[in-house]
Amino acid sequence: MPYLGALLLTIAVELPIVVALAPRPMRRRALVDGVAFNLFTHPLAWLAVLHLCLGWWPVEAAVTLTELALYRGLTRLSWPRAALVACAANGVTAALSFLF
Amino acid sequence: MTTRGTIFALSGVLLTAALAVAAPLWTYALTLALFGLPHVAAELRYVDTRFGARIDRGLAHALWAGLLAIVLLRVATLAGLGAPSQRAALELSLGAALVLCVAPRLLRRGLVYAALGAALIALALWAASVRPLDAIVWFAVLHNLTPVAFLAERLRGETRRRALHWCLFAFGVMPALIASGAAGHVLAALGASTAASVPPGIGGPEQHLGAFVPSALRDGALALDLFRAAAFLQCLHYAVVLHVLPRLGAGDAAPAAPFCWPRGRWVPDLVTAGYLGLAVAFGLAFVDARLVYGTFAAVHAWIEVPVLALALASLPLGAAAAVGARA
Repeated sequence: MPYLGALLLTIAVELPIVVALAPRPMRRRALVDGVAFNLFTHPLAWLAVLHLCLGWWPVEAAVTLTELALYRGLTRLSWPRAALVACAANGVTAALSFLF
Repeated sequence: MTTRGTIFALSGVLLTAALAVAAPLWTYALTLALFGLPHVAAELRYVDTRFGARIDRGLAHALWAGLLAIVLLRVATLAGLGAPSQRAALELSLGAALVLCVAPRLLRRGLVYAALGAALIALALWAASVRPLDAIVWFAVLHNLTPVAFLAERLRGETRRRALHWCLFAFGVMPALIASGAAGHVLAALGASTAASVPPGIGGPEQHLGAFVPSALRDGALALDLFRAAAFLQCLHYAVVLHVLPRLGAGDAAPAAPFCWPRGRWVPDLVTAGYLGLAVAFGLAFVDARLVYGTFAAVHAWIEVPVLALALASLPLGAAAAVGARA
């Protein structure tokens, strides 16, 4: 799959999950932030796995932890909610990556 | 930020990204020659006014000693003394020593901060023993992110949150997209040339990729994209240091006996002459001028490691100033 396709697919899959799991008053903010966070982590993960030949699992874990910190620090979700959003969204796309 | 300011900042970031992708070596060389030295002075000034009160005399002496040793190492580079990997390993070890200087204060703040300091020291020493030259390159690249830490430390509340969103976009998303090659594809699709043209008289790309690209990645197709991302980050670093930080000023930092910045009437002339001299030197012998500039750059980059470690530990402002004036 070409890179831009992978990026758009990831965003398309993760955003509904992020919006669904974010508290209702924060959904709009979570939507915008979710796009930004994916635009940040996805290219770096792509680089790390395909060009730097780093392991898939450590990279996926690093992406999840980074997004967790960003959802907590910038979106201001609570720690448990940020962990839930980051783990669920990345868990689903990670599972999908085995299919595509 | 006003709508006008937002549009101005967004246009600036996107235009810089386009320039860095289309002409990375031009962007790197021109901005280094024009803004390199002024940004070092501005950044040191900011560090002094914002963090000076938190550094007491004893700590200042220890830090100056470490920095002097780093300057001597860089002078050794100019003189061609020693092997590059040995000099790099020594510089990283001195960096670890700088963090060691603030370790007692980190320990006083708590075990988490002490562990952070220990991790920094261990990382520097490990890099010094394993791949010192690559570690120095990574250090140069990561140094470009320090304005994010300065803004996070300086701002509060909603302003801080908004600034960090901007930083995520400018210092995170854009470089990631450039490094992945996505930005290059977009620009090529728009019809722009993305060939690596080189400014005349500064040598080929191979002489400059090493400034930002570790040796293991220098031969691959990825090298130029990584260089583009780093050149873009360098521009943003200069922009924030020269344009944003001076406007923010020291803020709520306690007034301290500031570093004795020279004040004579001759100072502006001397500074201007030095700046113009180095700018001309960049035009005449870019690689040699970069070595000289590297000495100044090393001082401002390394001093920020212990300073930011202290800032992270959120030591109370002015606590040190109450104890005594710093050197």
